[in-house]
Amino acid sequence: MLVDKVREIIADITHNDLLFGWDSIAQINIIVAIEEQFGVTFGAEEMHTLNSVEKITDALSRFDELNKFDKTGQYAP
Amino acid sequence: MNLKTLRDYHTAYKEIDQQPFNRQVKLAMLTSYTTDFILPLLQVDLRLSQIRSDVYKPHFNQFRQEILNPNSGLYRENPDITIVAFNLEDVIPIFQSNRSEMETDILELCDSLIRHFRRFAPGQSQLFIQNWIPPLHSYDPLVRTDSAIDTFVERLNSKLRTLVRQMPGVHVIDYARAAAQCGLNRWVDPRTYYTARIPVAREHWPALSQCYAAYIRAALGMDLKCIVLDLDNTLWGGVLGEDGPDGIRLGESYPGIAFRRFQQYLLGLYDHGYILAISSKNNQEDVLQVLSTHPAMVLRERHFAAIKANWQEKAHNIREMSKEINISIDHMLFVDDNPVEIEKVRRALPGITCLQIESPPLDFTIQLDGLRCFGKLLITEEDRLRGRQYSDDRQRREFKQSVESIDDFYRSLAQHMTIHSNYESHASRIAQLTQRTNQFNMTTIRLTEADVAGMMADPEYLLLTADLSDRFGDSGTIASVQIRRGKQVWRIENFLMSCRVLGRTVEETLLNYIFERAAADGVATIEAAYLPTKKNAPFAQFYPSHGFKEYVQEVAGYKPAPSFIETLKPGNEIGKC
Repeated sequence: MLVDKVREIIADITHNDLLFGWDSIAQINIIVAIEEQFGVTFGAEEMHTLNSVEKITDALSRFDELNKFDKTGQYAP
Repeated sequence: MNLKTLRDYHTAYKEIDQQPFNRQVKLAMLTSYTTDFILPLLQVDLRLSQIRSDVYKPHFNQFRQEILNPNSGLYRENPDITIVAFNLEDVIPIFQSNRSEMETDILELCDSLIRHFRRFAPGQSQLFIQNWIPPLHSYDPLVRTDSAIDTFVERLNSKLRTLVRQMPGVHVIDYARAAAQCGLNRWVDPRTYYTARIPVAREHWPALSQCYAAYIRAALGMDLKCIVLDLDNTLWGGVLGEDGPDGIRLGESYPGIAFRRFQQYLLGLYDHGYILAISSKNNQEDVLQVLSTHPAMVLRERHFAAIKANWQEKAHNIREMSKEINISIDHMLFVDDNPVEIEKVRRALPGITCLQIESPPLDFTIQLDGLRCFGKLLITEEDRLRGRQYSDDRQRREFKQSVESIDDFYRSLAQHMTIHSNYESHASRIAQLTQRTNQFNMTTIRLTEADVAGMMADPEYLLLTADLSDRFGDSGTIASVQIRRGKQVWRIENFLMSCRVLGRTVEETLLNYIFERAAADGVATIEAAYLPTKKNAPFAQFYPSHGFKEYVQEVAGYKPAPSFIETLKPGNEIGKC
């Protein structure tokens, strides 16, 4: 499931003394790791506001929704 | 271990406290931006080199205050290595069209930082100043003009290098090169740069960390000195014993061309003072033939300090060559394509570093680079000449073995020594000899260039240096004697000589000269100083064996020791004699 994968990535980064709690460096690490994993790109401000599991999974679902538009621009879930 | 991804670093950092270390270093990072992103990675990279590090990082953008204020945290913490790094755009908000004023401002800032640091920090503290890249999104014209920002930055970097060149203990971190190697247009992530002032994109954090670690290792003198190379499938493709000199792959087509390029790379290391040696399971004559006559060889006999081509165990060869060329096993890298040879050598010689080179020869240089064991902060003239000196020594050794008696050997060497007095051009060499010589060094007095210059200007002091050459080549300046002159008594405060010229009557010749000189000056007695250390113990009998009783010898009663060296008058005596 999407949310489990996201949690796994975050745990890998934050449950690690490398980054003391979920600070701004961890934030960058998490976002870039998510981008690499799911092949997406977030914007400059989004990078810093997506600072919880819920916000990240919501943002990812949005990408998923966008992918559901077919080539002619019709919504086809 | 080569850490590439951040995941590798995370894993390594989890176990960092269990990793062994044999060096400790205290670092200070003084930057105009936050360094939180790089420090943990740097600590991992250092630990992989067995260096445990503590980092002092004041609040960012305090770098000027930390250096200019003698009471700052920086000087209280007293780090071994201080790194100063600032973005140009953090110091100059807008790049006006008139660049020359900006150039002056930046260079004066650097000069001021260096001068204050040298004044307030202890002598051994090392300072690194990071050079620059153009600010993100600067206009870069199709054809570089004088007013382009890139031109400005290039010139600035060049002037920084010049500024720092004359300052001992101050070095440049070539940030521009690190960025160029990773790809300058991908070096910065605009998102993190504009929102959080992070100067480097996350994908390059490992590269930057490894760049800093390389400089720190070099600052700590953690450099290997000698590469012992296999031949078959290492310096050429194929097996010489089976394919013959015409059958080995070395030439203009693949894979020969890649092996040739690897030899060229090794020649580059040779030019920078690293010693090359061969340990190969081959016939000596076959190998020498290839080294001298194969048209595609880049490396030749004269590039090697030792050539051991035989059927003995490589570990035995390496132990022998270590003694012959006086380089410890700990400072050697052994390169071979055969995993069995690597394992045997590793087991027999703990302390040696090994590289099992893996074909195809497409990335031999990357494999060697990846070990990160070669890196110096300063390349001296001595480094440039070292390869040749070691190869000349090899020829002397080989000649010695072919000659009947030791006296015959000495005679046919045809040695010449030029003895200089207070020769100003030798000041830095004298200082270097006092710093580096540990064995034939009677009192281990360490001098800086400034100390030497002071003594040369002082009429009470006589500093002698000896240049030695023979039919095999020029060994350079290989001995130095520090004499304090009184009216009736001279005191030899120190007598040092490079171990490479032991056993050739160099010290006898110099001692004879000193007594001759003293007699000519009407001096009655010479006293000598000897401070025993672990390293100079083998030479404790130097003065006693030449007649000194309780380290005193009357000039009149001195018996000159046999010398096989012809002394020449220098044509260039300067300064007080």
